[in-house]
Amino acid sequence: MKKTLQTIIHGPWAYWIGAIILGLLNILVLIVRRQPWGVTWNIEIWAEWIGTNLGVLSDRGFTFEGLMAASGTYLNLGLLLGAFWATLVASQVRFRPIRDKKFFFSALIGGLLMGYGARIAYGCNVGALLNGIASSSLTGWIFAFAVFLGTWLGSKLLLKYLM
Amino acid sequence: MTRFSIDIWGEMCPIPLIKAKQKLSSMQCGDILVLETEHSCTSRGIVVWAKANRYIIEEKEVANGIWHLELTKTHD
Repeated sequence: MKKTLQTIIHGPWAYWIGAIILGLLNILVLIVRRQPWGVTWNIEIWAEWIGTNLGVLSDRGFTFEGLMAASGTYLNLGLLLGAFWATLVASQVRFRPIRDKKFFFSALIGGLLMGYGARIAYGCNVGALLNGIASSSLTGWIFAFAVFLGTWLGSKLLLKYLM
Repeated sequence: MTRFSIDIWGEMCPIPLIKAKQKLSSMQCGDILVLETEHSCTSRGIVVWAKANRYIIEEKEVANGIWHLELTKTHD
């Protein structure tokens, strides 16, 4: 019993338990929000708002009040805070220094490519792949194919440059 | 029975696992590979992989967020 409680708080949870919980929460988001869960659209409108205020983008009418009223803002904040909270409860929080400069640059380039890719595809792993396939959208399947292709290429590059 | 160790500190999956596999292939049966990581997913990934490949693996969280792994090469 004590061991079970220890596993619940401290982890690691089995992958299938995580998958079921994620699936149920995803259904809940769809019911409450009447719109599937997505991550990057909200990040894009925040970026557009910042860009507009810096004067580098033309105004498409995003206001701070509008952003603070957007459900995506809270889903993303919840994602970050939830992950942080779980790590904190498991007492695994630790500042992790960057081991090598090449990991810094690979992460930066990877992040930029992922962000750009997610926006030209109108969604990320969550919005386009998970919920795309769940709603029988062809986009999801094309996205899945591209993910496999990209991952294959990424592993080749990783073995060549990052090992 | 010899003890080996490789430095995977600060490295992200899947690099530690690939390095461990490479090191393991140069080791004899009964040898032990010692690994230490500060990434939970790295530790988890190596444990899952070792169990799937019927190697003996011991995982211990030696401090908050630091895992010490001992992998025994039981077969080729």
